[in-house]
This record gives sequence, C-alpha cells and structure tokens, in this order.
Amino acid sequence: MTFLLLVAVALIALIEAPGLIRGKAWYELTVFFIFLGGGAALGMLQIFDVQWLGIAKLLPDMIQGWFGR
Amino acid sequence: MQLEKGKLSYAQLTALITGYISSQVLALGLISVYAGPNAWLAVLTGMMVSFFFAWVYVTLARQFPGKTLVEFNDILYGPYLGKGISALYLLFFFQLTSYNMRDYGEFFGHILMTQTPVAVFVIVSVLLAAIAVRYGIETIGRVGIILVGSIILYYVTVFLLLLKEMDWSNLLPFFSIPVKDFYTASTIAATVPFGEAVAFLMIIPFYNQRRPLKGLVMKAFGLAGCLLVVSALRNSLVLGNTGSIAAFSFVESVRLIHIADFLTRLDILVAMFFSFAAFIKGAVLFYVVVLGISQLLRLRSYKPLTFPLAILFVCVSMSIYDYFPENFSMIEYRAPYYNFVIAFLLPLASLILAKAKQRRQAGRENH
Repeated sequence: MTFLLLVAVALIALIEAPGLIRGKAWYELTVFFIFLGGGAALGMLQIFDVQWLGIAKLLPDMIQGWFGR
Repeated sequence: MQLEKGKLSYAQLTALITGYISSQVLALGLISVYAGPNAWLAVLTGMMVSFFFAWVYVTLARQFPGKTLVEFNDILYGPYLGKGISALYLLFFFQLTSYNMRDYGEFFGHILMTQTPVAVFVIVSVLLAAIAVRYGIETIGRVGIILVGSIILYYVTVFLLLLKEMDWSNLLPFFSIPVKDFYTASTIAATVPFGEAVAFLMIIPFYNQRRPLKGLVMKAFGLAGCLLVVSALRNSLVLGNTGSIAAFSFVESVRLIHIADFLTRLDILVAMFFSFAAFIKGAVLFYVVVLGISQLLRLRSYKPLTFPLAILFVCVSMSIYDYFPENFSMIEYRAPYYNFVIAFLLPLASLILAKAKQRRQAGRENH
C-alpha cells in the first residue's frame, strides 16, 4: 500500500507540476504540493493505522450535542 | 476570475439535481426503521419540507447572479468571516464526498464482490469522479442526462416487474406509528437526501438561465422525491416489515424478481444503477469541493487540485468509519442536526442578511 501510494503521488506530481512550472504559476504549484503532501501524509498515517481521522466526525458530534441528543 | 467556462442547460441541471438527490437510497433503510411501512409517507413529508429548502436556495442564488456560494459569502459576510463560513461549507461537502465514495465501496464490497477489498471500489469511484471533474461541469451535466434517464427507466421497469410480488396489505396498519418516530423519519428524509442539495449553490451560477431557475429546481426536487417515494413504497410493498432490517433494502426487493425462470438475479441491475447515481453525486460533490477550494484560495485553475484531492478523498473515505453500520448511526443521529445547520440554517441566515442589506441599500438610494 505504501508503495502504491508513493507511486500515485509521484505520478500526479509528474503529470501536473511541469505544466504549472511552464506557466510560471508558482502560487498554484505551492498549493498543489501542499495538498499533494497532505494527501500523502494522510495516506501514510492510515497505512500505519493511526486512527485520528475521527476528527472528521468532530463537528457533526458537536452540533448534535448542542441539540442535546 | 471565472474558473469554469462551461454552461449547463435546463435538462442538464435538472438531471444533475435529480440524480444527486435520488442517489441517497441508503437513507431509505433507516427511514423504514422508524416509519416501518409508512416510510414512503415520511419521504413524501420530507419532500414537501424540502420545497422550502429549494425556495431558499433559488432565492439566494437569484440575489447573487453568476456568483457561487464561496463568492457570495465573501460579499455578504466580508472577506474574513465569509471565508470562514465558506470553509465550513467546504468541510461539509468534503465529508459528504468521502461518505458517498465509501458507501459506494461498501455496497459493492458487501453485496456483489465480497472477496474484493472495499478500497478497490473507493479508488475506482474517486478516480472516475476526478476524471469527470477535470473535463468540467458541462461534461458531467451531459453524462448526467443519459444516466438519470436510464435511472428513471430502471425505477419504472423494476416497479412493473415487482407488481406480482407486491402485497398491498403490507402498507397496513396505516399511520400506526408514534408521532415522534414519524417526525424523526421525516426529518431524516428532509435533511439527508434533500438537504445535501445545498451543494448546488456552487453549480447554479453555471446554468444558462434560458428558462426560470425556480421551476427547474422545484421540478428536480419533485422528480427526485417521486423516485425516492416510489423506491420506499416498492420496498414496503414487497418486503413488508422485513424491509426495515435489511441494510440495502432496495437490493433485497429487486432480488425477488423471478419471471419465467428467465429474469432472475436482477440485483446486478441495481448495482449498475446505484453506480450511475453514486457517480453523479460523487462527481458533483468532488467538483464542488475542488472549485470551492480553488475560489477560496484564489487559484487561476481548479484542475491542478483534482488529483491531490482524489488522494485525500481516498484516505478520508477509508477511515471515516470502521464498519458499515457506523454510517447508519451518522445518518440517524448526527446528519439530521448537522445537515439542518449547514444546509438549511446557514443559507436561510444568508438569505435574511442579503434581503436586509438590499432593503437598507434601497432605503439609502430613496433618501
């Protein structure tokens, strides 16, 4: 899985980055790498079974709590 | 800067809204847990309530023609608070996309290909949605017409094929459930399938406006509602009380089709049409998230973000719940409140604020 994830990340970087560099879209390139890095980091965390993604349920839980149910 | 150059026609937007809402057939199982054989009535009530949601969305979209949700939040609430509220919406859409992809994977992993890991289906659906998103909203709209047309045909065909299995006494006793349970079922019906259509506030600006928007949205909500009511009614008529214990009641009912030892095991048909509906919802939500983030961060194009977000969707989808029934607890306990706040209260507050600002401006001009 780690290998697959890294291959996917490398492929995406190879497909997208040259176009952005040619277009001198440095801001877009930075945002692209931040999201790609974020995706890779999340993927690695998940592969190593770090279950902290329950954070995704935090907001729905809070709203449910406000309504007292 | 306009990030999307494509335009949606009347038929394309109607198809997208109909396909998007009617894809939430998983909620029907939960509605029937509360409402039993009266699930169809709860869905009908939810649909009636949702027309008010639709009115709020249309009126809000008309206040800011050509502006998406993220763009008009900046105008309405100012650059900082507006961005915060937009981020809240985008988090909601991000979660919806992840749930949608995972549900699709779970459906295939549990019903059809039980030996294949769920991750395979999730990756395939995310990849498919990412490719569609890169082609733009107009392409998704064009595909939407074909897919929704075939979904409607599927609903009609399956209903006719199941006529022999239907027992109308399954609907009795009529309305014999506590009012509280019916209220819960109707709330789920209104907020989950219909409330999630708030995502269209990001897509309505790309409608070519050749015909009135209000009629389009109302018709699409009505059509999607009819499809869900027919599905709930069919499940109740065919399965009776056992419908409420099946996780995928819409598959269980279709499995009973058995005509002349020839037309059997039609659950593959359900899988096909569920994929169509899930694709529409997944692609629309994916597009909304990508476009929303690009507008929030003022990027020149949304396309570079598509594949990095696809990786994020796969990762979050795979860890958003551990096992499938956990998803039902999300729909049952959290979604009615969460969806109500994000999909209804926030747009309503925005509409009231927009009207108040408009009135104040008109008052200033008159003096």
